[in-house]
Amino acid sequence: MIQSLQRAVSEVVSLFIDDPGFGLAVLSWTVAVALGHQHLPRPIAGPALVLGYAALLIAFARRRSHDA
Amino acid sequence: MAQHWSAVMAAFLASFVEFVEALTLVLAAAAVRGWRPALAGAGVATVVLALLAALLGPQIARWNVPAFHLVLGFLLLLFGLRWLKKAVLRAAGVIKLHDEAAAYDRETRALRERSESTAGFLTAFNGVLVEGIEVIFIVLAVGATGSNLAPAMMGAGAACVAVILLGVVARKPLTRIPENALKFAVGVLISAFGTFWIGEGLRIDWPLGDYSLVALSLTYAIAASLAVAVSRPEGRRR
Repeated sequence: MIQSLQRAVSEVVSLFIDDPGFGLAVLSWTVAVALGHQHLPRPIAGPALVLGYAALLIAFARRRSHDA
Repeated sequence: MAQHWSAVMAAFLASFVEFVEALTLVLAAAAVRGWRPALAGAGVATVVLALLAALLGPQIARWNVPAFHLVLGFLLLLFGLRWLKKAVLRAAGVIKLHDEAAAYDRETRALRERSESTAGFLTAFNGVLVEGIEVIFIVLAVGATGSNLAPAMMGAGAACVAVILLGVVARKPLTRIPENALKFAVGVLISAFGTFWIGEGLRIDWPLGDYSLVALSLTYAIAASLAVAVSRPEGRRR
């Protein structure tokens, strides 16, 4: 039971385990937007948030394919 | 309304994938050790999961504060981006596609090598519990933010019924399910939900309100398709 719970929890945060660089980059972008969004024009903050994550997805998928 | 339908879709697709994986383990346990321990293991795990959901659901639904949206959104985003990145790499041919038949063979081989009498029960129990806890996380995380708990539960329930029916009909692992396409869609939807709730937690104004979820899903779908194109090994790029 405990093992199953541990496995399930590790699945949820496993981006940090599978690819720590990607996990940290996502965390850093979230913190950057959290700290800076009040200085951005209101309609820009949301699109900036998602475009940042989307760019990270493309960059880290490409990097992983180059490493393979 | 857009949020409710997105919650139903996200919970249905994510739960469907998890239940297919659980079904493979239950079928493997049944093939080697018989139906009785396999169904008992799956049944006990289902009861534990129902208790867990009944315990956590009402508690989580009460925490309707921005900090909670932020944390839950971030966890959803991590979960969604991981699925999406794996689906991208599989679609690009960088890593192998998940093979339900191979998983079934691996599990039946492992079960034949185990001597203890409870192996069939434990395999089915662990399989359903692990995949089920992920389903509960998805349903609660998608459902607890906003008033989406009922739609998310409906989606997961429908997925459970669909997989059980398909399992009863097929009586073998569901190998013809386009699992990577499903995981791609789940990754897109869960990442969109995660991003939306991070934004809500940060008190960011979404220009389209709830319909921003559709725009977020589209953005992730386009980004993931681009990621597939740029991740293909050199010889396979068009």
